[in-house]
Amino acid sequence: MNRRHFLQLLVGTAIARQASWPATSYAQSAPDQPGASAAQPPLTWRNWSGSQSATPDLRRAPASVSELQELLTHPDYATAKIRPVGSGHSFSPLVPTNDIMVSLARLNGVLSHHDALCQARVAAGSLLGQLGQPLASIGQAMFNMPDIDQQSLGGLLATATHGTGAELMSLSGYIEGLTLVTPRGEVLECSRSQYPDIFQAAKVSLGCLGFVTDVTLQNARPYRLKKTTDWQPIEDILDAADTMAREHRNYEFYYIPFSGMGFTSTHNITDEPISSSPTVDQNDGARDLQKARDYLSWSPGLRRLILGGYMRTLSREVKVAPSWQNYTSDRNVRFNEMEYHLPRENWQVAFREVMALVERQFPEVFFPFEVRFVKADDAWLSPFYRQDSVSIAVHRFFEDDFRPLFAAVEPILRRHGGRPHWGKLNTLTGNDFQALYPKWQAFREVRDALDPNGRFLNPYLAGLFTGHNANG
Amino acid sequence: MNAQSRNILLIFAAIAIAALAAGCSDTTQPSPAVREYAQAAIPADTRIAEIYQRSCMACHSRGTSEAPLTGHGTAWRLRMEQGMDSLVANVISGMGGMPPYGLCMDCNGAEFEALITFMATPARP
Repeated sequence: MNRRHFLQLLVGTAIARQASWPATSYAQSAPDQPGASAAQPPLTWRNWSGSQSATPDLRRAPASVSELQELLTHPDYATAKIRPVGSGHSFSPLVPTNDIMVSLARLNGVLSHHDALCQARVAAGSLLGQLGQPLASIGQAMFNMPDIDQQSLGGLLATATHGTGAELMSLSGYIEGLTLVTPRGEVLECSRSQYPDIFQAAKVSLGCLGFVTDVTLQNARPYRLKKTTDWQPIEDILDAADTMAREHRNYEFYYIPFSGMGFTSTHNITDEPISSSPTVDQNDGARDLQKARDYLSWSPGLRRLILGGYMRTLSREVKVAPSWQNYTSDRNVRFNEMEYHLPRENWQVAFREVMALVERQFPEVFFPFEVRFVKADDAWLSPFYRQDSVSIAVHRFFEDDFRPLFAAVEPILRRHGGRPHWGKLNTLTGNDFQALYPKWQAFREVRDALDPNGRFLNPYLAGLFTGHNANG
Repeated sequence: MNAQSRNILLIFAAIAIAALAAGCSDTTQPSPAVREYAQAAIPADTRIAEIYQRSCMACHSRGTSEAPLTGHGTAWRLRMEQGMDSLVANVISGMGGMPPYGLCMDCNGAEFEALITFMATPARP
């Protein structure tokens, strides 16, 4: 019997001893599932978690930049709203439109590279998970990656998606050049020396300046990473976190609510041989935590005793692999997420407040909370704009109502100076963002010049940039 | 039966359930032949092949995720029993780790059906 089955046994035994207590279910109704008629056009689009949806009149995936230009300049679509869509991994309403949804999935792959500069020009429709091998074959690797690799490159750059590492920027920070196809169909090659304002705006664009069709990334030479995972009491993790973040190339930790425990993950460059110790599958782990929530939330003490006792039995996990195979893992259990990026000096106080709130008021919560470190960059709408940050991510299982938890946690993260991740849920308005982003007005001016008719604004984005919702 | 005896019985029941769960996990693993087939199989139709290669293959050919392997008849038969409409609906909504539309944002219902049919067709021995 392995340790996971040991946990199942402990939970099962606790259930048996309290057989007269009903299991608590916090699940809401699942989002409507398209029925048989959904196979007929138009089809409803949903994001990964099911929290956003739209029924676009037209969905297109142009096979070339010229096809994209034709779409943008076609008189039939002159007044239609247009939204780019990647892999649907954003939780915030960046994508939904009932007019035209455009995927760049057919524009993919490494287009060219400069060996001496260690830079590669990559099509924006590429999936992150399909770039590691082609980059390795030209002697390059990305400096950092997030913890999933299903996103499209264009989507993750447009939202300043990030991994962890106190001295590593979000992926947008490594853009050295980009090609923008404007809402009028013009093609602009942008860099720090060509259209510099558009370049700084388009590095994190929310997909509202037109289509970024390719980017030139500053890469590293291929490297091997040693990933180490350790389970520890959460108080020990918190006390050591800032030191650990300084001492390791990549450092993050997860706090498991109602267990008194968490786990840390570090990555460091190594030349050790490829290897892997037995690992706890994170998807199985999430399901077990859900079961513990369902059956043990009536007794926080027993829940902590069982979960904490189980986690103390878990061994260190070590995996050595090429970098692009050692950052990410599959996420098969769906969730909704809110994430704020806080100034480094504020995160400890904020996170302890969040922990206390959750353990006091939200026994239904079981998903781990994630804390990561990100270095400042200079993209105008990057949440890391000139601010070394610590990211605090809050998750709820996709069938649970995320609103009460997020509504309670968000004021704490805002009070400590947090800026929200663009792809994750938040309630900020345009005025709020203006107060948080020194270049907000400059971005608006670039946006208005490129898209004076607001073709790339869906209701959410129109609310942010014009103060009122636009149809579409 | 007194309360103590009842609790002992329930504890044994829980142990039995856990032991059962521990012993029942490997019955649907694909064979090496299926794994080899999944890595190379491509639909005959050019349009469907292009979609499959850019949208489906990364997960359904490698066996590194929970996505059923192309040609793994046992895994697909359980899903096909839900009916094609249900499977297409799952693709459109996304399911587990699979993003909405199975990463093919321009696909229509007929193309999703063709892709599912291809992946669900058992590998030839």
